[in-house]
Amino acid sequence: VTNLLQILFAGVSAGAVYALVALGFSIIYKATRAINFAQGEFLMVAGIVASVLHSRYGWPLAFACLGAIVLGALMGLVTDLVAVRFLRRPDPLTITVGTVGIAIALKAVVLLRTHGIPYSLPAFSGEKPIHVGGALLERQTVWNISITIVCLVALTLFFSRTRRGVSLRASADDRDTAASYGVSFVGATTWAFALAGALAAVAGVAITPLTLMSYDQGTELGLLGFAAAMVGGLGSMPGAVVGGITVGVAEALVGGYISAPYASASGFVILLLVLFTRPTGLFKAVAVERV
Amino acid sequence: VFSRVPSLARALAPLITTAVVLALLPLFAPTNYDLSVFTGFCINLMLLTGLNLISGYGGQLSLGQAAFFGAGAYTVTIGTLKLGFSPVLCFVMAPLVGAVFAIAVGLPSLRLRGLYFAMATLGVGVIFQLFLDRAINITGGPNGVGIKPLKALGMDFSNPRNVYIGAAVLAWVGVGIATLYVRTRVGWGLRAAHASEPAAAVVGVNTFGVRLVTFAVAGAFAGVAGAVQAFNSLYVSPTTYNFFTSVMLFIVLTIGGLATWAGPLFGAALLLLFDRWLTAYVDKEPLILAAIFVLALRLFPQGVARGADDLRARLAARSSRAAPTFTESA
Repeated sequence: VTNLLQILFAGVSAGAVYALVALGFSIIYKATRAINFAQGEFLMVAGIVASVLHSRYGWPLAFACLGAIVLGALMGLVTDLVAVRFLRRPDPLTITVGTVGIAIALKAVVLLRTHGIPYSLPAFSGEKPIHVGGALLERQTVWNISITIVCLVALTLFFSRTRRGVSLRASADDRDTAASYGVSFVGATTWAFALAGALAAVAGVAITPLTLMSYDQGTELGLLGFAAAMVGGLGSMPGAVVGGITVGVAEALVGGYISAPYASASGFVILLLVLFTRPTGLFKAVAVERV
Repeated sequence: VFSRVPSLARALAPLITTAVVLALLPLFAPTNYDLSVFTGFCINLMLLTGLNLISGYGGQLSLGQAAFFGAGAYTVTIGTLKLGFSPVLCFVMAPLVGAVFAIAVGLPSLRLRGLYFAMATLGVGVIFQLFLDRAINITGGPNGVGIKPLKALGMDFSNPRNVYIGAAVLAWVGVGIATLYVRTRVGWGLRAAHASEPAAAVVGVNTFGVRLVTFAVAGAFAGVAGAVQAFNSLYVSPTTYNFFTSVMLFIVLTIGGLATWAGPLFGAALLLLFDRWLTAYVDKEPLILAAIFVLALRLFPQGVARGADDLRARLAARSSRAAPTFTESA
């Protein structure tokens, strides 16, 4: 039982980060119906930048994290500038393909600058784990779960209660009608990308204390976050969180009981199962292009 | 696309152009190393020609082409080293394995459209790469394995020149098959299903069937490419067949022009540019390609091949001072 509890802690810990990435995918999907391939790279850049600001330039941890989050929002804005405004054809496919370009460029720049060295960040409140039922719980895990819940609540309120959030959803649903009510589609995507970038940065600074961060980790974390978003149903905020935890726990269980080398495949196996059997995800009935 | 009967000249243009390019390339190859790089051009041409069928003409974005590529290469590796099959037999099996793998992937995933299909193929690609990387007792794992050169048809393929000739012939045949393929009943059905799925279904096209067959053909092309790749580099390792390769293939094909015969040629040429003449910038290759990609998406949304067609049409219209007519690009 202790062993199972330990595995579940590890799963939930990773799952909370996948959930944050999945929330970012869901925001972009809600606002544009596109998939943001750069989401994982935002996370990676933010983790590394926070580490550099903290350890090389001596910024206090909180400020280094804040700096990384601001940078995340800026990366989101740049992505919007390129994939939506510069390409001038704001259909889901063009935006998606544009973000692929951004993702490759970001990864290449980080590799050139860091030469593949992994970067670390201290945990937010000490490294000493908490004993729960005989298993060890990292303090950072508690942080990550709390951050995920706060982000989920904030985003749900944003999309349902604020003018900006409602107009974002409106312009994704029906661009022309929304425009006739004075909601600009391009303005809406700008907000969505900035928000998604900041969220990816939060995920980046949250996971770096647990795993270290190097240039190639963004792609995998991004894809797992996408799998999580699909499991919950793209565009659903609670779905993203449940999907993230599901993928994280599944990975930990497979790693602990079945086969450690193939643990990282389990997220993608779940992705395929969901795509083939229930492409709307477990939570929401969005129209899916399927015949 | 449907209003004009394909003329003989139109059908022959890809074959003649490809033949000329493949025949002239070795003139730029003073060393054996250059020749093996040009063999890489033939391999990329095969991969892109196959990808162009399903993603270009079929409109189904595949981000899993590298998996079928790897399946071909590992068919040769595992077949010769572990199972003791003759290299020739393995070479013939490579496209079959690629096609069967593609059918297995396509059966569940081709029911999905648009980005969902792209993500399903991506998932398959990632899982397959993890398998190549982790199943050390089957694939040799991340360190890769070396294989012996191919001897077949009375030719010794340890000589890079012979490998190039073989690869060039296969690539040319591949282009020929693709050119014919898009003109067959299945090919027309495929393009009709891309243009309008309901309309195609109404006139009796089995939209799922034509896509499945095309996906299998694309898989077979990638399988051959993988076998050639294995016998060209004589060393097979999982990193060649990762998600990044799939994305790069998709990117250069989009730059070259989806659903155009010249698209794969432009795409392969772009990759060759980096492999042969810009080797000093190899670490900046992804960055430069990404920049070219974004610029091309803005300037030539239909790809360079169509962009060139449009430009020619516009110039012709200007010089004749006639009202611009609708031009078609095959």
